[in-house]
Amino acid sequence: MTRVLIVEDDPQIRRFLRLALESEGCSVQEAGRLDVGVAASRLGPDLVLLDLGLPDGDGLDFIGPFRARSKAPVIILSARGQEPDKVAALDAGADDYLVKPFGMAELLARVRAQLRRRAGEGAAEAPEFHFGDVVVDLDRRSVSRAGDPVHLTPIEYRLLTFLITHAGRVLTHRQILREVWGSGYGESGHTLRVYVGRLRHKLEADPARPQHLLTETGVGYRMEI
Amino acid sequence: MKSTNVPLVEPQAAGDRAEGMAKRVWKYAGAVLACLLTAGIATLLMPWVDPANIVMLFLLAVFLVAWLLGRGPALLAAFLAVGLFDFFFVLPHFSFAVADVQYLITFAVMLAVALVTGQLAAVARERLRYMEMAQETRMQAEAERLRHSILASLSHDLRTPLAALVGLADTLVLASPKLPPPHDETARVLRNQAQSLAEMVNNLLELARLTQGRQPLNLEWQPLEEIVGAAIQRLGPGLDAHPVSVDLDPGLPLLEFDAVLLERVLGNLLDNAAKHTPPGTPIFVEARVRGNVAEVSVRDSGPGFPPDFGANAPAHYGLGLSICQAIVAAHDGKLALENGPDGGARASFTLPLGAPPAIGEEPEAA
Repeated sequence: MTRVLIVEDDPQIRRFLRLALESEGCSVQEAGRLDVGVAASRLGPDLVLLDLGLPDGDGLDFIGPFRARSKAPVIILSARGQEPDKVAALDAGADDYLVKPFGMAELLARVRAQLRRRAGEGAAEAPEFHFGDVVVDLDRRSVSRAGDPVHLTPIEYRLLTFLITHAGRVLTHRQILREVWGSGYGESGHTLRVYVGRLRHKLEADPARPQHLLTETGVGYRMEI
Repeated sequence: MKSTNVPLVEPQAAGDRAEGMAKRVWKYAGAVLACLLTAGIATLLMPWVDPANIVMLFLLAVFLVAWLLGRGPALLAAFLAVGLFDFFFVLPHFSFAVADVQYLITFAVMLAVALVTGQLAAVARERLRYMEMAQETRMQAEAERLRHSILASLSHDLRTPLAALVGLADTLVLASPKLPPPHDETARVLRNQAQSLAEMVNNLLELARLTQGRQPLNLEWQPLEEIVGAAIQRLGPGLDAHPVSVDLDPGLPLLEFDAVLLERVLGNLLDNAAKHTPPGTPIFVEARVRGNVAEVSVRDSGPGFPPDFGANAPAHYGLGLSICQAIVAAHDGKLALENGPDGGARASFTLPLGAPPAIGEEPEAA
């Protein structure tokens, strides 16, 4: 049974989360405070739903120590207008975020996606990825769309492989820049956006309405496979 | 060099300086006047009071000058007081000569006391004024901080119960076994109403933050295409009933804007179009370069804005458009609402083009 830890100070929101997760067959543990959450996290939950504004501290302080011990997904519960907080949480090791208010379907979709991603992580990395009519073969370093080869520059290819090997996770601009361009490119957010735009034009059916290379505005990108 | 033609003293500064000078002259004149007035009063009182008490009167005058007019005038008043006392009230009268040498001690002490009290009074006054100013800045900062924290806690306190309400109502809608029809319908209405209330609260808070004028924009150079896609994606099912076609000029350069805020603008305009047109009505998102601005428009072929819809209408047309206007204005752009020639509403906004930074291109070697 999947064990989910909820760290959230509002009892009614916890109630909603519990009802939703139990209907999905998860066992739920609740914490209304940061210190209780930290203590409960030692029991090794399979997934954590974490509110950032807790009465006895910042939920951000939960993530680092937890990440050091566990690879279980952490989903942030946040409000609109808190983009810098989300970025900080994701940079610290959180995997995804939900913006309040959210419904049950949205919650369960995110939880399932994270659990699926986590389950697939242990397996040997698949050499081939499919999304839409695109096939990416990591062994042969080739990309094709509807059977036709697609030419990507080295940076475009590196960007694409980083995104697809982290599919389902929200990656911040900083994380992508550091990985694809190296540490010297920390400030060139516009360059990253231009390259993502180019990838979309090469790989998406409608680049202005992408189905796979999704924008998380003010935060980063998420690859949906 | 840009500064070669700038006059050394700006006209404004010169004016300020002349004004300051006039003020200072008046203060010194005040000091002289106070001393003469004291001499006059002392002359009237002379038959009844000792010279020692006349000294006291002069010291009081110096003290008051120091308190009211400051350090420099007090200094002048101190010397003037000693001079006047000697000239009018020490024998021989109307002469600076002194018959009794004892008076030299009186003069010395009088001058010393006048200088010291004048100095102390002036310092005390300056310190008091400084404290008042510090107090005022502190109060302003405090008020600012208070406004900020009220908005933050209001935002948390309003959003939390709404998030619980939306979520809990949703668990009723998706309950299994399904609720009997009337209750199921009620649960649906509850959820949808809570959802739109939450949206309204979000808009209200955002507007409050924007109109405070202290929210720094997170400006970055970026392609418009990205936030168009994000806005459409975020509206999700809200746009299902409307085909949206996007036509962005491929030559559109990078624009400098706050992505989160501009996505709100596009989202609100799309949402408006979807809500005020019958299902199936297509919506068009277009962007062009016009002169030195980029113009982005969202139009539909629905019934259009109502006929009495004036230029200042956003305020009356709901929070959504007011926010659009505030955000666009913060980006030095203009929001325009009009009805197209073939009917249908058209909302458009401009963004200045500016000079985008270079893209970090890679050497073309595969």
